[in-house]
Amino acid sequence: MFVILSLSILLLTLLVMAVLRLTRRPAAFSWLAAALGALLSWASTPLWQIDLPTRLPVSSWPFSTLFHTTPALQADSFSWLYAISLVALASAVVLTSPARLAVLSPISWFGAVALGLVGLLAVMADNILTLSLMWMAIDLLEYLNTLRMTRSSSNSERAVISLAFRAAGTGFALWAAVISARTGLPTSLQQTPPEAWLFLLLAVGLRLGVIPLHLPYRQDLALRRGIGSSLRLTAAATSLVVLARLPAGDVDETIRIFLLALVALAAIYAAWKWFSSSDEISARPYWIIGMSALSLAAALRGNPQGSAAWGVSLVLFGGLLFLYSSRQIWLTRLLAGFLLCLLSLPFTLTASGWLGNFPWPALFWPLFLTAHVMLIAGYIRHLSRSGDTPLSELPRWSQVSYPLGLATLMITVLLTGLWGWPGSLQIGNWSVALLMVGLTIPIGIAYWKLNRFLPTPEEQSTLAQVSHFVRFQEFLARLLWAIYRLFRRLVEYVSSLLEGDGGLLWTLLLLLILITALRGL
Amino acid sequence: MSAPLIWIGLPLMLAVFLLLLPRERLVTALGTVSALLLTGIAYWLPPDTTQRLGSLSLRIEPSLTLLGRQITLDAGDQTLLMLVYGTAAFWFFGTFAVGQARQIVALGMAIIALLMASLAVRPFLYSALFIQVAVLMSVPLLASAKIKEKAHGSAAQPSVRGLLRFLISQTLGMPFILLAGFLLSGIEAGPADVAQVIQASLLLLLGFAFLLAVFPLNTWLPLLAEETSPYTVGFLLTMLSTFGLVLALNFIDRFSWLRNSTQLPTVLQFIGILTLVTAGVWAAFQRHLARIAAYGLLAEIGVSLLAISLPDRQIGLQILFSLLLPRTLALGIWTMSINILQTQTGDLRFAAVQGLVRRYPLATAGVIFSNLSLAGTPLLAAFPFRQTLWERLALQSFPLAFWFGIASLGLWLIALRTLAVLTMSPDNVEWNSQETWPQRILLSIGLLALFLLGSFPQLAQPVLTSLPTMFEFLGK
Repeated sequence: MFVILSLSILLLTLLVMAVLRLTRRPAAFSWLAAALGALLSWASTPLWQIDLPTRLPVSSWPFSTLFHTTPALQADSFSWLYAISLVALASAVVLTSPARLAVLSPISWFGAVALGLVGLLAVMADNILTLSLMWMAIDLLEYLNTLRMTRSSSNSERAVISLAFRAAGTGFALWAAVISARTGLPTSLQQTPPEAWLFLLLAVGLRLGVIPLHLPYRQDLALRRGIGSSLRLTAAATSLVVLARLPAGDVDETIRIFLLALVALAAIYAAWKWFSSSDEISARPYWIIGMSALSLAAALRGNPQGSAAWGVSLVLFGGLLFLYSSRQIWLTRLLAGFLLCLLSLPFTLTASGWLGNFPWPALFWPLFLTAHVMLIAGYIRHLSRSGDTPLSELPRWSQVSYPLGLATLMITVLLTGLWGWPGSLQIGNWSVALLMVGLTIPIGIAYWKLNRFLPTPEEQSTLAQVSHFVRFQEFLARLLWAIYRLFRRLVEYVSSLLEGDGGLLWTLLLLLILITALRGL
Repeated sequence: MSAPLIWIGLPLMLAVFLLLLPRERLVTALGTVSALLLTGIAYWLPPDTTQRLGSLSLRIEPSLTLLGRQITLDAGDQTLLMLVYGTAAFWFFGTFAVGQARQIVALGMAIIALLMASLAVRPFLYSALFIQVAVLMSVPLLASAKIKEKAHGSAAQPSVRGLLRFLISQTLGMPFILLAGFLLSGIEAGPADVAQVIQASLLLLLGFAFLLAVFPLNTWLPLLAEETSPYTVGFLLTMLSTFGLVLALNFIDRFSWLRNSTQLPTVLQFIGILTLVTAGVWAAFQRHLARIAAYGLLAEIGVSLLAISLPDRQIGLQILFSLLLPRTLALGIWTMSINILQTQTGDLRFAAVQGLVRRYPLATAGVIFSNLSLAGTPLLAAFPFRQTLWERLALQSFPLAFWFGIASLGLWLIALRTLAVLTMSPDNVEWNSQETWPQRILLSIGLLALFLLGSFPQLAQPVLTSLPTMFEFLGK
């Protein structure tokens, strides 16, 4: 059971870090423990392949007659794919952190490793119940981490709103579990009935962590790059993993077209915003929406491999870019070269990304391919800007650990393109791949040539205005708040009647009405 | 020695003794240890069962005759005794953190003994009398815990409206139950006179509606919570509602026509969902921490009624009893946390407690996680059982499941709203916990237990599987 080995390494790492913290050892020890633990766990993940698929011995809940579902964890090739990317991300966050943090932060390393552990459990969830438990654990980790870091009341409030949206997603998942239970079918995610499928989709959408777009702790770039990336990408990955498991083929054709249209709009909008944003961290929600839209579109085409490919690319390529704070020309060129793996070329991670066909090909293909091109163009653009600190200015040990952190992500990109899951070693839709290469290379060259004429990110940020989408969200929030206050006034009025001097009479009247209603039952 | 003497007589005597003790900490320690001892005795020496200790043979007699009435606690009551005195130990231990030990421990011990007697007395009709005495005993407990509101800088007279309504409501329940019992005694085996059965059913329904504070007879509860120490209210109402539910089940178990009635589940379902939804929706719009907790408790009463109404009685009872432990735990931590915040601010309105998280992180966590637990949030203690109840309600009726979801949503919303208020500290305030060590330890243990029970509900299994067997027919 190599799955347990990886999980145990992460758990042990957390325990060691806790002991080091309690015994007040220097922060460097914590960093070393976190880095070693995360790297070892990452290195052990390929061993899972020896006994896949496998069910983990989770102690099931009692009273077999009582529970329709009990927690179940199953490792299969899709969960392996997501798992290796999440542990690679955790390793990269820890290894690259000395380059970002002037003051070492053991709690953020602890958070990264803990997120890796919970992320692994979440991607192995075999039913909605287990998924909900893991989602809630991730939400709590994120919220507590955010609360610890924020120092202003407005950011605290935003963190709660963000948590509320995630919780609403979990709520929809629980409702999907209720609907599934009604059908009496087995509770595995693969056998989710179509009625519940739609609610799960809604849950995934809400849980991507992109609403609200005004994110907390946006002022602290170092934390947003490190643990912030880990939080955002892990939350997105643990939601998208569901798409690879759901029986999307059962969805009604009309609903499928409607959903595809919505997803296409989201993809185009997010890809454009990603391309035109001033810096990659501010644009991160758009990267998540854009890549998730591609993942969802693949799932709706009945292509679970494609869905997983886009989901994992979101984590790995996103991780590479968001953690790339200390820049160096050769490293930038290397990362740009890695972009070939995002073009759905044969034998790359995204080779299976464009398999399958859309219902209205003339409409949907151009829309989604345009979104794809803009996402890549945006990636090139953000890659080419100057970083926070040049790599050469870092301490020598950081100059070693930092590239090593990025290397874990790069190795994972290469490995998953060639081995380990149904989407690896695929030729895929090579005509689309050729088209993407044909479009991306000119865009790349044009960008390099015209770069000096474009406004710098600093200039852009001064010119940047709050987007319509954000304004709409804020308007929606104000509207909801006004409705809430309206209802509150109503409730307070009724309460004052019932609890006031004439309350007993009102209560008796209500009681009489109730008895009358009961007679009718 | 007889069981009623051990589990009813001794606690009553102990209550008087505890009232006389000079030091609060001693009262807490002694009360907690005594409650734990009574739990231990119930575990190792259940009533009406012979236990061998080497050559020594021990047996606790199940019955005691008092004024011509029998008070009986037999082997079937073992788990209930353990649960009740175990729960009492939990609440008493909490007074280390919140104070008020003399009232809660001493009077609480007496109230629990009287409530235990209400379940043990034969003829059954007299249960209502014991409950009434327990209610009367709780008046000094609540009165001693009254909050003196700070109105415009000067101490004002505490309001007693909630306390009076509590007394009126609980007292009104008694004659209804007594009358129903009187009418029912003639029709135990089967309903001979349909009109009499309808009258008895209506009286019984009203009696328990008052006793259990179902909608709309529960307006006193938020008032009481606002006026009195939250921990005291939490303790008292958790106990009263638990005993009220067991008493109601005893009635259902005893009368075959009531047990087999096709209308009973429908009525319970209707009242249950109404109580749950009104509590959940009302909670969502509150701006006072103690009132929110009160609505949380009301919602739990609705949940219990819905569990009893399930067509599969065995499953219903299992869910009902499985929810007791998470509920007690959540309400205990919730009210303890609110009490701690109240000691600091003197007022539990949102405006007064805003931004307290950095000074009271564990108390804040206690308020939020307990609220979320009772809303059925994954990972927390009540989740496994609430979710299974939700799924079973959906099997019965989709609208019912929908309204259950709405009620849970209300409780989720207010938990998040409370979280937003408690975390909105002024900018750049440092974390600096001002909770005392006993408070930190108790809250940490409680929060850990909330998460442990939510992830591993099997931890509660040994206690809860045998509880339904205390009913002769319902449990089989």
